[in-house]
Amino acid sequence: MVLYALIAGVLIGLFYGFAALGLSLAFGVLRVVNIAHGDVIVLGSYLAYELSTQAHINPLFAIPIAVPLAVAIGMVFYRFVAPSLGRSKDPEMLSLILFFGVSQVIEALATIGFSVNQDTLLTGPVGNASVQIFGQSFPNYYPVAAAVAVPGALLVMFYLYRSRLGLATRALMSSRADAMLSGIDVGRTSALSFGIALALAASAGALSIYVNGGVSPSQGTDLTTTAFAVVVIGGLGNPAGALAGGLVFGLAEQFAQSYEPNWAGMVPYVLLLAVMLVKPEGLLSRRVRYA
Amino acid sequence: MAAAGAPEAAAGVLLELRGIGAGYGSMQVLWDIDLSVGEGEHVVILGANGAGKSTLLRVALGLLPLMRGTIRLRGEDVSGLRTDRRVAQGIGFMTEVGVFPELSVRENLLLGAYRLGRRQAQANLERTYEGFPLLAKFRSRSAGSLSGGQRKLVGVAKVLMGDPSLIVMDEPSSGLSPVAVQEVLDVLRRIERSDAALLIAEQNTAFLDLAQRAVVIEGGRNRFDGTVAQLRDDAALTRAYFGIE
Repeated sequence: MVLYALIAGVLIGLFYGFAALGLSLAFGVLRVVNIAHGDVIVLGSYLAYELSTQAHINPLFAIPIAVPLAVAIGMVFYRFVAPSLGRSKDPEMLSLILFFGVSQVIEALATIGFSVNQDTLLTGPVGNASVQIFGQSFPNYYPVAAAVAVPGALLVMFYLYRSRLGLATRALMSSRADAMLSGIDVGRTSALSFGIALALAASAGALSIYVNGGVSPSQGTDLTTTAFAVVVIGGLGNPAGALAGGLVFGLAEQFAQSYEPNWAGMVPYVLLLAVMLVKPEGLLSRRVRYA
Repeated sequence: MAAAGAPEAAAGVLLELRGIGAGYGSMQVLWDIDLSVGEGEHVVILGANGAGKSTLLRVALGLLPLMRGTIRLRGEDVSGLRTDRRVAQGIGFMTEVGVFPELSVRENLLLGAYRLGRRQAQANLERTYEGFPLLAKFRSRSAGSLSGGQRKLVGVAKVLMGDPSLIVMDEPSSGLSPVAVQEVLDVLRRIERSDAALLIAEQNTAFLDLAQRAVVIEGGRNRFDGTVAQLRDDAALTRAYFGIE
């Protein structure tokens, strides 16, 4: 049972980290919590669902379709709202209200389009056969979710830590004013980062429909809550921390699921509280010397 | 005392601020300030805490909007230009913090040359490592893990990475021990020998040794604008800023 919980925790934890990566990136750049993050995951799930049921295409093909679409929508959306946020005396509060509104609109539109009922895919991403890992049997979406999450996260890390634009993005996460003073076009960099954040959320949607047993319009709030817990555990605004937070969250959930299923929904959040008490800045945040 | 208003801008003026009024929200902090920096000239803005020195620099770089007045760079009106576009015209700015604490020393230095493109930035990085061997040693460490003096060193080197024609510094001695201040002064003396113009806002009068001209701001208004020698001859200002009779 320990081995099962360990493997399942790592596989699902990688998915949680990937699903939260966009929330962390958006927070790092914009300094606001995108509470519509889970609703964008839901949209990704519906895209996967429609591809599978209407076009009979593997639902994972939703990812290459969603990425350019979400980047474009995110960039346009950022350009549309940024001037209002810039003029506001309280941009953080305005952003929360704004994203709350976006979340409600997405949920309402999804309800109109797909009804309130949960939609599920009867076939897994690679058929219905289970997969054996170290003698333990798992549904095939477990390793598939991890297999998509790992290269996806690596791509984001490569962008952030190996590209010039990624360096500009991390400078922007550190200090918006200093980034401007380094000659960085913060408007363009922020818009692109927000677009990438939405693309990550939508991509996670293609996996979420399996991991969460289906998709429904009201699922967005729960998904945002999970992603928020993951990024807070890892360190808010630190994309690498989101992956660490995802692993911690996934392992806690799977161990609880294995030993005390009634507590499975609560244990990861107890862990979140513990992390907040012991290391409030999150597990992977760097310390800064002040003397 | 030298003229309270700034001298007329002459040919070779790099940065010129005229009749600057600015503040935070509805609270005005600067009143009709004039300031100019010539090509290759070294100017120190002196003033007590809250005099408006940092606000003036923030306005010059476009981080704060103008209430009134104009800002010209090489004669061109840049009052409405975005900060990154002003930087692209050759201004290097070192804030009080001076670095991105979460990023490595190498990354901080590369960001100093962001506007120059990848190839030039790499060439300038090698030059910086030769000039500041300590930074080559610390290249992989996060800037936030360095001491205050080392961080200022990174901040100065970061600004120099951009090959600016005007270097602007906000309180480079802030939060430093006397020994660290001396180290910063030693580094700035290297800049003194370059072609770049220098504009430093400071409370520490030791920085006057680097300047040809001093501007004193008091209560958000011009109090003095003249040579450092003229400032030292002004009895009232000498008492106020040098603490001697």
